[in-house]
Amino acid sequence: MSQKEKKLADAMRIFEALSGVDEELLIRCEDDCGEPILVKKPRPIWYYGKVLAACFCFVVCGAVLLHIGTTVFQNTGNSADSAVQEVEEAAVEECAVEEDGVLADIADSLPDVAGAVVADEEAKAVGGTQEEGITTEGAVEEYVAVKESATGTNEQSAQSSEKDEALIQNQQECDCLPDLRREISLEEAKQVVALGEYVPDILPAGYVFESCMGKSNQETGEVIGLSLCWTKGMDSIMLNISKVDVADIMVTDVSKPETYNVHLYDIPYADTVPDEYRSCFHNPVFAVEDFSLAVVEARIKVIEEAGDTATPRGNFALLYEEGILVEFSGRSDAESIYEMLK
Amino acid sequence: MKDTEIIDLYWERKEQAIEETQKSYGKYCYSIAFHILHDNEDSEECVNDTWMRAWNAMPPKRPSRLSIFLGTITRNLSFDKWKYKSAMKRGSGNMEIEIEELLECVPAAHSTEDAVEAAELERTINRFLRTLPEKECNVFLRRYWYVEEYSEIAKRYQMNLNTVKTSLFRTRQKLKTYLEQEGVVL
Repeated sequence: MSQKEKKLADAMRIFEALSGVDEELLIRCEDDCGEPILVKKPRPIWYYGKVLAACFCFVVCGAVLLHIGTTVFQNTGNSADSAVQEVEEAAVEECAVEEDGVLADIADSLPDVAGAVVADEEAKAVGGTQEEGITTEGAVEEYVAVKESATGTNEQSAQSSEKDEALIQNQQECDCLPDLRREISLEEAKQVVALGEYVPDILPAGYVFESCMGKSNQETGEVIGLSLCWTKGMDSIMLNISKVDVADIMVTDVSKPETYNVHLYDIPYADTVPDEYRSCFHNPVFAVEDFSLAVVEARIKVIEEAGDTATPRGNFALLYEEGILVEFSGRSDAESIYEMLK
Repeated sequence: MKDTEIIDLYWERKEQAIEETQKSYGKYCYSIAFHILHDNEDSEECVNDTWMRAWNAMPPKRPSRLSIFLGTITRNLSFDKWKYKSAMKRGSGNMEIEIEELLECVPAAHSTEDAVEAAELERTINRFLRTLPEKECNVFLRRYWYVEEYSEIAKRYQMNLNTVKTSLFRTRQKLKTYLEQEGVVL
């Protein structure tokens, strides 16, 4: 086996070994789902064939019905003129009926109209003062206006019902609406209600703002999280600011440094950190009232790696009473980090 | 249907379990298989084999997260099929890019004695992954466990494409260093 083939085989071993990744890490990765990207299966041709066949049937049926209708119309009456005349007469009769119907409706809905019209005419006849009253024409206009507004209301309610149906269908298709993430500016981040005030104004020297992602609840539109990043060359600082339920957060006891102090253990931590401290050790959450320079120093450590900077690095989170969680992960000296977050 | 209800169907040996699994996780498993194999028929075959393996595994297994359990089976089956196809026809696989990237993680050999066992390698990689920040670890898993494309990862996490590539490059370098520090020989 050549050197290259050997290395390729070793790379494949690493790929295979990744199948044994701890379920906890995979669950965490799946829960940080972002936007799901699913590969769509290509639909077979016969699937589209059914749709095309159905459309073809509709077209054929429509053409046949149109032809039949045209033929029946042409065969009605002895001549075209007499047919047209009959149609016109029928239309006139229909309109008369409708007009009577309209006026009848108006009369029913506005019983004072007839009386007012009569009174008006009588007044005119005797030369008296015309009183303000509802005229027949005005009543018709009002009826038409009422009918138009009713039609408009019907259209609005039809549109609203269509929208509701689309929403229900959309909800049925999606089991959950993922949170909406979009990039926002630092200024916008600082103005976010309840979260913006936790965006730090003081940064370790040399760091510049890189990016910020705002996470919003798609249903309520509320911004529920901010992810900010500052960089200085290859070093970076990331802050996640989010609303949490205080009751769900396990706060680290600062009086027990063995649960969070990275200087007490050697890397690899999986071999040196006791099992009972492991979950707390990797992501400690401190109550803000316990936050101090000593806590930061306990979480920040220089880790020398070939090709990487020697800037001290670490992570921790601060929990505020009002249910705000500020998660820090990044590189700088302890004093600068403390100044940034205090 | 919830995972627990589907697993109960497996335990009761009801064929409806397969139907419900297909409904809930068919696209998910197909996605993993297709990312490795890039072939519709082979991916379908792997997904169907996954259901069979799941049927045989439950009982006695009762996984806590069914998606991970099924995804792992699909991933292993797909990779085995990819290896078989690659052996038959060298250079055809599209997953060679991911494998070649992992070449960078192969540690320099310190000794020719007793290459580390697969289980020990898994444990070492797990320890390494726990040292990573959450986001970096997730990006790494999306690339090398779910075999997602750079663009898919960038879109998923709203990151720049170059940021994803840089993050993965750094993580591979860290893995290589970590394996060397641990004295891992492959």
